[in-house]
Amino acid sequence: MDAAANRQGKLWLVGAVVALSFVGFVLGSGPHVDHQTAPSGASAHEPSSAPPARSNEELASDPWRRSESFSLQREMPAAAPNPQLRGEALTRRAERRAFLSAPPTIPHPVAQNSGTECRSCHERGAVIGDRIAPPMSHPVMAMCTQCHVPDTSVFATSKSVAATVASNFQPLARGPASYQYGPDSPPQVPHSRWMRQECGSCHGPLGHPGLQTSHPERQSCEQCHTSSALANQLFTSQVFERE
Amino acid sequence: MSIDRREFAKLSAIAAATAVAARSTKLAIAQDRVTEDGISWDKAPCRFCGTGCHVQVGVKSGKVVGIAGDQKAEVNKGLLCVKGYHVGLALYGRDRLTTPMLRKNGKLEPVSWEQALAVVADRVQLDPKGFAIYGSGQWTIPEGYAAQKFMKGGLGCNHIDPNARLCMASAVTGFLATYGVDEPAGCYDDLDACDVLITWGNNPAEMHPVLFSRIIDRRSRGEKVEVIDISTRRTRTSLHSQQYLEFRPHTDLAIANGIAHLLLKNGTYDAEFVAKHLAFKADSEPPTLHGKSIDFAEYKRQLKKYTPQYVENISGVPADKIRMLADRFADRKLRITSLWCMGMNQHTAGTAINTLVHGIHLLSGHFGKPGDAPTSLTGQPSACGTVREVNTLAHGLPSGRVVTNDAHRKESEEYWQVPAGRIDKIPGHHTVKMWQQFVNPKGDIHTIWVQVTNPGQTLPNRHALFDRKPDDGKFLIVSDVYPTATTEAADLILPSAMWVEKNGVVGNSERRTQQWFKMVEPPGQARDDAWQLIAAAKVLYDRGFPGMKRKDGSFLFGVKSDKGAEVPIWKWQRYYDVNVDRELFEEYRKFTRLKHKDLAPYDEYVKARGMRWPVVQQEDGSWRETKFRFSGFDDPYVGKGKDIDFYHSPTKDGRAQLWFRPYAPPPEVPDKDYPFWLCTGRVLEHWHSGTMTMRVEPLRRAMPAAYVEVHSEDAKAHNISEGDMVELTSRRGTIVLPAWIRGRGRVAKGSVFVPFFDEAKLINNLTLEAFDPFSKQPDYKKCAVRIRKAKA
Repeated sequence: MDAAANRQGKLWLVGAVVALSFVGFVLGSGPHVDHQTAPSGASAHEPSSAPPARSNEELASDPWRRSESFSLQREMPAAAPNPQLRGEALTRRAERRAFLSAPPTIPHPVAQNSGTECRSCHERGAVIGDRIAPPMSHPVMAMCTQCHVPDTSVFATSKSVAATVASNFQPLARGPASYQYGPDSPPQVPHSRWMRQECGSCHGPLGHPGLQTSHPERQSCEQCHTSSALANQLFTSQVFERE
Repeated sequence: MSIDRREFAKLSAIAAATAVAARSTKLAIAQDRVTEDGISWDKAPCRFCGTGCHVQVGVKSGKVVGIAGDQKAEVNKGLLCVKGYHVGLALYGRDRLTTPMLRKNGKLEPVSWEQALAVVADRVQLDPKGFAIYGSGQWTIPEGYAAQKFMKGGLGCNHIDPNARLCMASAVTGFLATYGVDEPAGCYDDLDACDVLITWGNNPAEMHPVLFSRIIDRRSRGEKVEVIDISTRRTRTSLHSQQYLEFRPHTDLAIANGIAHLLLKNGTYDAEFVAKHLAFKADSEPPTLHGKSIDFAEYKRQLKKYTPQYVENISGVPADKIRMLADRFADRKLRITSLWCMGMNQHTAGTAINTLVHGIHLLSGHFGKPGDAPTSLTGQPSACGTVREVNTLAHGLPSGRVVTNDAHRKESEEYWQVPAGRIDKIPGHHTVKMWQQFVNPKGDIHTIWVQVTNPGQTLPNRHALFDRKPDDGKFLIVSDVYPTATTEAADLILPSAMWVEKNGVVGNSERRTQQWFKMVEPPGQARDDAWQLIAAAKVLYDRGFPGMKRKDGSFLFGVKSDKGAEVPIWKWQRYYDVNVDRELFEEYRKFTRLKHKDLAPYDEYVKARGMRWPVVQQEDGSWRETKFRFSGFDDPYVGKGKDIDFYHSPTKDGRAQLWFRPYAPPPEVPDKDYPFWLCTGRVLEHWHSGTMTMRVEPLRRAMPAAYVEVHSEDAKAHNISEGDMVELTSRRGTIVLPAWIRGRGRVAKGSVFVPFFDEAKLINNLTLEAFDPFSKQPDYKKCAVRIRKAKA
């Protein structure tokens, strides 16, 4: 017990050092950040409780699996998705993206010279305490930070985050609602499938309750839920004009 | 459905109609697809680096609302990097420049476009020979072509040079000295076929991430690819490499010579390739681009001293690793691709190291087969298309022509329909000299017009090259989209349209020419850069300035409608009555045959996600691109029956040139007073001077400010902890930055690294303007500094 607690303590210390190395960097440069564009103050991101990622070195001696709070499974909630839950899920989703189909930012500190560590939690997804590490929505690619970059505003102290940009960019708040022929027919996929080949990422047991499927036992999603050929870049609009 | 079905059908019909029409007349907001959410999508190459990824741009209600990777694009196959995914946001920073501004009594005040253009014309007429344009590898091909014609064909003045001088000029001289013609023989297909990838002072994991992940994702699919990173600093590329060889700055020449030495000594070079396809060169006295011919025996003799141990002593790379590299090149079964970018180009011996790396590929026969290629990468979206191909350099005329060649001038004058003798035969000032002559009150440049670049942040030794004396009578004109370190010093600011706010054509690192259409309106009074040039030319024409007249007296940039009437493209409201890009491109196309860089008609690029030149018409009328230049199996210009043919050989015998170049130390090395090496560069999230990416929130949040990477032992010795402020001083300037010891990159002991994207931390106050003797490209990777903990 004591040994475990000790190990846990060390682990958090290491994590904190990783976090601090980045936060220290941000803090150190804080006063110079808002020189160019006045902070709009519009996007006050909520601080995240996500723990820092562990480096490969740390993972070798102390893999996530050994923490008591870590699990690969989560019970499906009993409550069926409803419009309110779905709305919450989409709002939460939007907080991590500049626009609907942008790659999500990382809500926790990561080592700046990280490589494959992301996979230790995100390859299959994981539950760590009250946090969910979502499984990847796309096949494994080697360079995670090519597309996903940390959002320092959610894990640095609020004082250090002056990196708000004054922008007139207006993303669409919501995608189209799913097309449904009738009340009992399966809804169409309302988004592109590109980079979202793994439906379970959002709709499986580790997805947000508002987006989870009511029938996780069925594995062949596309058997019933088709998606838009236009959204998937399969055709140009010209094709649709052929009569 | 969220949008009315009838509305969707209507939008789709418009999309189809505009797609079918040539879309070459009238402004058409381009539409490739309209999705069920009412967003219209069309292709465009990404605005940022030279990779040339295609994105799909989603537009709704006249605004860009989303970006997706273009799945039909061969370059990126649907994938992007974090900059590319957020490229649409670069248009919407709240401080976009929307009004022309003129400095009056020291203050910038709004003026009309008419007033602004009159000021430009006044400055030209003051003395056309002292008027300069400082352009860009971010100019589109038609923009660069218009600027080239404005200066060399209109003003009879050759003082036009681009920022790409600071970026890939040494790659150009390397190709010219080796093959007699510019640009890589290979292409990105090599990345799918190589067994070994060697990165030479290159960090594609951050700078060309889509290309790098194209290679390492092959491993995820079970393929074997060995990555060997030869570098002065551990980067994210090193992290994915099996071998990391750290060398002392500038000693890459010794490493390349060490490989050649062993290939010769062990008899493992490709004797047949050498006998059939190569000639030998060394530096002449005085040094010239094409040097002097030597024989194989002399070449061998020169390399004799570059033994593995000798190379280890110079470079710090263990002799065994030099042997390992030579063994890789000795293995004919392997396919080896080399990649390089600024590490080899921003180098006072840049031309030399470029020729040496081509040399070891040629000597070992690792050339001309898929996967066997020495390939330089570019950092800007059209460094190749606009600078290297349109040749917007101080000595150049379109498509490999030079002002010093009588026939080239004559031909250009004929294409431009200007009187014989219009083009000056003396080359203009290259970048460093142009700015020296501008900031010197007695220098011969009185005005510089800057387009699509930010020299106030990116010139080396910026105090010496950019700071002006008060009341010097000089005048700086800046066309840009946001306030920058350059507009801050401007006397006249012209607000520009950017990216999908205008039509465009660019050329990427693999000879691929890419086209897009205007999709949204620019804000306020912002207008296309090409329009600005043409409208200024028209003011001069109306004032009777002879240079802006063709031989027949008509306007130099005049465009006729299908019915033969002059279209007043100098009036902004009428600029899109015709597709001016298409007009300029078709005129430029005539130039491209001389060096076998044939381009297809504009309308062919509308249909494609880019095509790699030479693009040659087939018997059935279709247009075929070329992936592997100089290779008989693919390049239509290779002589019949030949496997390899260097048909622009400097020795005119179909042979490429194998150079010997000795290692010599760089001009400034660390010493007692300035004991550290300073290296500068980029980071994944920001592109060049950050003008665009620092206004994109997710990018700025991920990387908000510049820093200095310090080695942990050096930090300890100077009592510096993570995040402490550190003062860096060179002989030219001082800067204070936070230390990042466990940072993204890990510098070698005795060196520091600072990225240049942050306009609040101008690292170029410290850098050195010493340049390569052939390319005139400065070295941003090496100068001497001292460090100390700054007072709190």
